[in-house]
Amino acid sequence: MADKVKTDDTYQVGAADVFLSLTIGDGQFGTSDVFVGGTQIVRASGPIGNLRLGSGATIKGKKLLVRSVVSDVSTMTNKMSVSYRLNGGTAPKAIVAKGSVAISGKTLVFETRFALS
Amino acid sequence: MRTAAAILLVAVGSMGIAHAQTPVEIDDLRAPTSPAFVLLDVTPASVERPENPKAFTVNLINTISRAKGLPQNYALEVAPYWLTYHPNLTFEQYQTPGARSLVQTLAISVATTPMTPADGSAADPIGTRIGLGFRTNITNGRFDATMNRLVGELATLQGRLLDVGKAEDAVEAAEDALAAAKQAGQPTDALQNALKARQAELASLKAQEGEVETDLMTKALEIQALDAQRVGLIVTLAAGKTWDFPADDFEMAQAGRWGVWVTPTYRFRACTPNGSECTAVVDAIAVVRALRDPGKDTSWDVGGRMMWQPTRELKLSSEILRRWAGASTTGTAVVAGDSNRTTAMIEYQIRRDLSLYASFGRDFKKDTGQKPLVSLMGLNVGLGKRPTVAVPAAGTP
Repeated sequence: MADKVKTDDTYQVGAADVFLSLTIGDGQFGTSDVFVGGTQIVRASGPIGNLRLGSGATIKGKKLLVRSVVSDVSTMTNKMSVSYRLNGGTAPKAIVAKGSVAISGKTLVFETRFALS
Repeated sequence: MRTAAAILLVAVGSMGIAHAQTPVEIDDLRAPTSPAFVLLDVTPASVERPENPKAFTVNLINTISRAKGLPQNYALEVAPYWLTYHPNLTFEQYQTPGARSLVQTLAISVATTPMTPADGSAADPIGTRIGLGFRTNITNGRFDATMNRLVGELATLQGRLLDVGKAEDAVEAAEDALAAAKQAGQPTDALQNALKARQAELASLKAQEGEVETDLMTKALEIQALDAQRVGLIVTLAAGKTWDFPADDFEMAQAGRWGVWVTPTYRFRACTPNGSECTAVVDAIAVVRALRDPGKDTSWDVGGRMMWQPTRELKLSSEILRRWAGASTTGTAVVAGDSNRTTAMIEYQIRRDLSLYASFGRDFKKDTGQKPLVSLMGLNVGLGKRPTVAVPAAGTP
């Protein structure tokens, strides 16, 4: 079973629509699922730009889960990272989850949860 | 009988090759991976390759403190760009780096070796020789159509792993719903059935998880392997220099040999639209190498090789190599003074494991002034058995 990198964070929403952007970094390739309150919003390979998660009122109190499967396709590094940018809430937020594989070609699963408050 | 005939043909071919062999080939003049090692003429048994700034610093401090001064027989290769994370570097940007290629492919090599007395005696070292070099790709080409197919297959496999996580979430949600219903004293039959269905689905996906992960790794390594088969224009620059430190005294440092390599290559591969099969159609390489030893003239080597494959079976190539300056830097006495080598080769693949080739041209001038003729004809015979995989009969599990 692939190793997991788990991250928990919070994001304060307002009344406006909330958007998520995601980048699979370090030249690696990944595919991501995005769920809000257990409902899948999207599955996409590579970066995701400004994905609308819903209005602040509708998503407040729910969990945002982003699960990315990232494979080591780079000959230059075994490092992997996924960066998340949320905006539309009370303030923009950006975080980066990092990991690395010990064996070239292996896969890591990044699971990041935001409590939308 | 057939095998014996093949061995005989190979033996005849090998004799021809041995006769025409020269000490310098185009491939010998390509920009080296580790210029510092080449200039010091060392092949380190182990090379330190730190992957982050902390490992790099610890490695350096440990080495210097262990050696109580300049370390000897030490080799280090480091790619500075990859010491740290790059969260904003996407896969697409990595594949087509443009000007970023200079920093992304930059590799620095450092090596040390003991200085031996000039008479070559095996006495204690009289100091330390240090080599420092770098290599980078000014342009780094691109991937062929095979990449799109592999990436698509990788994405599908990653999706199957995501399905496992999704099924785990579904089981968790069904368990929560059942627990809540029990707590509220509501009927639970439907929820229990739903949970069982989710669990069965998860078990089915879990059973395939190991296989999916193995396939994922295979696919990821196939993509990595494409790095070595980039197409388009790739220009590699490498340079290095050595210094001697007699008695390990920095004040007595003497500059040693230096070298610069520039290797532009161009490869075009024609692929089927889905990238399932690619064939090299044009493969060109140019080499420029300058080497200078203390007290000697700079030795220049300039050359190129062009390969054209008009059909799958036929391969035509020509090669020219020009050398200026007196002494050979290869340690052999075959090449003397300004000289050049020009050859043309034709190869025809009769079968998958059998090809006919012919080579003709002029070799480097020898010390005697003779300009040997390169004339060679032969057969390349593959003697190994082709691997076969048994296909299970229909209905066989």
